[in-house]
Amino acid sequence: MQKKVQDIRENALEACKGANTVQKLNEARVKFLGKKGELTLVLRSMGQLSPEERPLFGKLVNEVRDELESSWEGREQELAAAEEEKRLLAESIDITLPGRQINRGTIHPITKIIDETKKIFMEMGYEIVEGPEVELDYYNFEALNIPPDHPARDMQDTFFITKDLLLRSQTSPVQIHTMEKKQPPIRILAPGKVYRADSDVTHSPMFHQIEGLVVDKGITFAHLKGTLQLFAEHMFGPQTKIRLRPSYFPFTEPSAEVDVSCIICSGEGCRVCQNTGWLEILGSGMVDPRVLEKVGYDPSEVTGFAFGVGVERIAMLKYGINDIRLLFDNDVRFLDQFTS
Amino acid sequence: MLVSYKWLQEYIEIPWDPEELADRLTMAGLEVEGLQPLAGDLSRFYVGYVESCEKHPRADKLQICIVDVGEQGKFKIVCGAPNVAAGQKVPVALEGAKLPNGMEIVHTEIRGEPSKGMICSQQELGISDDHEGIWVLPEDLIPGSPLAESIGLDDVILDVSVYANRPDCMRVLGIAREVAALTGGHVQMPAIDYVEKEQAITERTSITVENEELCPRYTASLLDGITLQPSPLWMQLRLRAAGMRPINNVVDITNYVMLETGQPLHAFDFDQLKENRIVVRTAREGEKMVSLDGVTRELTPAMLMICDAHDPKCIGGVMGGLDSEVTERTNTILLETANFAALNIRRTSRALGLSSESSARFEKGIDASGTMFANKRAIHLLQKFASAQAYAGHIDINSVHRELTTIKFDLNEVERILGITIPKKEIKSILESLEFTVDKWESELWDITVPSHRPDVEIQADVIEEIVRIWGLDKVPVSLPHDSSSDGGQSTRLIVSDQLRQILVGTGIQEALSYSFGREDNNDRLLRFNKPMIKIQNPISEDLIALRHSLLPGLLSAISLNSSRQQYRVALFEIGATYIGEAESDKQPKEEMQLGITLWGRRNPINWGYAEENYDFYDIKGILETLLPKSPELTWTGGKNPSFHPGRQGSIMFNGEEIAVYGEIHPAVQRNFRVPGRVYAAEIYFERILELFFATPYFAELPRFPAVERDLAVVIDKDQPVGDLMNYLQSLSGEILQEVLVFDVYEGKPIPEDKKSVAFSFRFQADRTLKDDEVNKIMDQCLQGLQSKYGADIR
Ligand SMILES: [Zn+2]
Repeated sequence: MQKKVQDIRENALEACKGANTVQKLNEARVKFLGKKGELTLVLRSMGQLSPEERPLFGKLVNEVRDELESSWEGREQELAAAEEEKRLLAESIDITLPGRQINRGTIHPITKIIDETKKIFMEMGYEIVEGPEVELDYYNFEALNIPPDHPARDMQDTFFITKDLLLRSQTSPVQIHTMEKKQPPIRILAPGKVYRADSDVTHSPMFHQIEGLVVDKGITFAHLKGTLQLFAEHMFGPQTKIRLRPSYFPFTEPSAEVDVSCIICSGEGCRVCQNTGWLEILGSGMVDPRVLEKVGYDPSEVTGFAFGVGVERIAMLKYGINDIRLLFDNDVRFLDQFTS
Repeated sequence: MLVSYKWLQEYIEIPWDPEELADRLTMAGLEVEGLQPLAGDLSRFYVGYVESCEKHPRADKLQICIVDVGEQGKFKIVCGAPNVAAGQKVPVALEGAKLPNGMEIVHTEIRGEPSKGMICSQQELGISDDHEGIWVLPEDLIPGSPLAESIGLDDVILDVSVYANRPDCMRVLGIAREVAALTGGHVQMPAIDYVEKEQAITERTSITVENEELCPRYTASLLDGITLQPSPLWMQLRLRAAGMRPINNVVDITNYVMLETGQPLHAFDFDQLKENRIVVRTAREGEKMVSLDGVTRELTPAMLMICDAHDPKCIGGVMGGLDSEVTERTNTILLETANFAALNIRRTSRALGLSSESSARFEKGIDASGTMFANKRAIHLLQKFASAQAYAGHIDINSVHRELTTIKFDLNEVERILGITIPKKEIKSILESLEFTVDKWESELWDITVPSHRPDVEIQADVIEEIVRIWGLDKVPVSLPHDSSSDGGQSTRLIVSDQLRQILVGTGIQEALSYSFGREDNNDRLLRFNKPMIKIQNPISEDLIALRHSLLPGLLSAISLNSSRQQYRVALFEIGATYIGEAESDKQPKEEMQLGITLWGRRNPINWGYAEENYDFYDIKGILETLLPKSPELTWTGGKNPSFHPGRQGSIMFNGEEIAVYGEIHPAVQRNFRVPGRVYAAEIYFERILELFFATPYFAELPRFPAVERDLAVVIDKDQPVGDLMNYLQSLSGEILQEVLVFDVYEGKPIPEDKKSVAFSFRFQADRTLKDDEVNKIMDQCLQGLQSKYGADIR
């Protein structure tokens, strides 16, 4: 009898292993473990044994049953996994086809530079303000220490609308508007469009400036330098150096032109910086006491600094754009390049 | 201003090479924009002596020259220049020399005759355009000596950019003074000595200045015995280096002294002056004069003229007259060094459209105290190089009685403005090197006297600038202002602009930037007639003349451009000002910030996974629905904007004011802007609804019970707007009906031709489990309403 059980066990294990589909496995299961299966039948014939032998035999049959059940279970999982694998492989698709891309919007490079600058200065407590683009002569020139017939008016070819109205040629009039409305301390940043009658590869009749103005007790040229150093590092990277050259603006005194170490060659000298290692990016200076007086401030009480950044210049340097007109053509192949 | 390094060295010892000098000047506020060697590499160029010259046996126009080049040997050189002759000293390029144009000199054969080198013209040496034959050098040069050193071509030209407030640097001596302030050296003034005749100038001529305001000073001398000839080579080279063309010794000397001292000079042919005298007056009505350039100039009474007893002979400070020009027949010259009012020169120069080296200097303002020095300097040179003899004395009509400016200077200001202390001694020495006088310097309150050539220095701040630019801006430390009391931030319209930009970029639209001005007929092209735009008086082009009323022209032009560049999809937006209203005298127009959006071409990228579909009306509408605040105060209605398709446009109202128009661009507008294919656009006047963008979200509890969804399809008349049905259904929503959506609109079989089928989806939701009954009740109500109000049939 025991021999018989052993035979069934061996046959069953073989059948289990040999079943290569879930269906065949089930058929074999019925054959050996089913209600009329071989193992069940052997157990029923237990009556032939002596009462002493019966418990031992019953235990043996149960052990074999457990072993076979777990074999079946294992085999069943194996076969199910294999069958799923087969089905999935049949579902293979061509993953080399391009994906369903969505249209990606882009921010204009000029806006990007303005946004970046705004962020830098808002963190330093600057308020972002605006002023009119169609401006009175008084604000664009006279209040900025540029009376009629001043040679500095020649430096900027201004678009006129009437005798007294013009398209602002600089964002500096916002300085005056702000100081007329508010008492110190003042800390503003004024980005915006400005206009000059000039058009070539590096000049556009419309372009953008960002004006900065700080007026308070105890503001010095050293503060101007520190502020611009910080700006340059944020805009062009932490290794950027700045250099201030004395210059002339009618509404600042002393005035300085500000260069940053060339972002292309890091100051080694290249075509972009004309081998000087420096790139001019902005004009700045201490607010001329005569300008402070014009808005009713007391220049012996407060001092201030101001600066004006050329946005196109920075965008062109930073993004390597070689023709300013590209910025206003709105060619989508150009705009597409400013996705990040 | 172009300045020769060697010329500067004549007045001041320079411890730096040209490059370092350029750096130092730049860092002191005289920006050197370029450095250029006067001539290229002239290492194989020598002075040669033409021993003999014979005609080439096989070429009429060629000469065979034997040229003695000293230690370098004698060379047989074939030369084609008509002016070559035995006995001349000439520039010779020998084998291995490289001309500035890149050509290298090699031994060659010309028409069978060997030629070992080249006799050069000025053009070939790259120092002028003169190619009229070879350059005949002065006789005193030594054959075989290197060419560059012998004639001073080993020079470097500095291109100095002089700011508008520093006309005193428009001269070599002015720059020399700046160098002196930087080195601590002293300027060596040029010689002004000469021998006078016994006869005094006053015996021969007189000067009358009728308008002292326009001519504050007129200084004149008289010289005779003039021999007109070329000026010395070194002078010619310096003029060329400064960008001026040598003419003859008299003209060259006046130009040379002008470059040197900054004072323009004018020489009159004295014998051409009627009654031999000068009258300085304004032009009379209708007077004319032929200027040096041969043009007849119509003069006005605003212009100051230098006249003889009868007629204008020179436009004062701008340009001389043709008939009193110095010529070969000239024997006697009247030499003028005058001072003219800057503003008047500027106006005259503008009115005549005529500018000269002289007017360029006068209009920036010239120190009137310099006329005598310049006049004497020119006499010195004229005596030396034109054998001129000067009558005794000058006539000097000087109405300038300007006191020198004195500035009270508080030393503490230096630290208050710059944020650093500079030693007192240092400050004093800087100011003195710039020819300022410092008094009471033991105290903290100095009296500083400004030299007459620095009228730009008026107040303490100007003095501080002088100090710091010489002391060095790089020595000012770096620090930050103390923490701000305010937090920064920006205006609501900027915040909203930024917000709109972010959303639009997210919906796949690109930001554009176009000019604020465009064509004058842009409103007409938008079919918005009789809306005149503000015009620029002095536009750079007719296409950029009128300030925009709308962002659409810029965006439509961009589509046109992109379509011509084979793009298939253009989705753009722009945020910017529009300028509406009239600009009268000093009345500013209203500047309203608007948002423009245009969609053209394919909706999706070309991709196997997308249907090939173009943008349509519902794309632009959908963008607005996403973009604008979901406020019940916004009313979406039909539109009547002439720029849009009459049957495909909408308008959005707020408090009775239009805040947006959108839809399909009118085909005529599309044609006007040369756009192929339909464009969907929107114009959004978002400044009118800024407050709506700042509504604070208020949280509503999330539903805890399951929703019930129902669908309903009805058939209605084809031209019945679905929006009406939507509005009606939404009016029934309330306690349990939460949402009604349109999920299908269908026309075509089996629906009758004049009908359409519309399918709605309803969502019911409450804070409890909904019963079928209550949902059915509302659904019945909806259906009945649709049936009775809109003739809807259930499908
Ligand atoms: Zn570089």
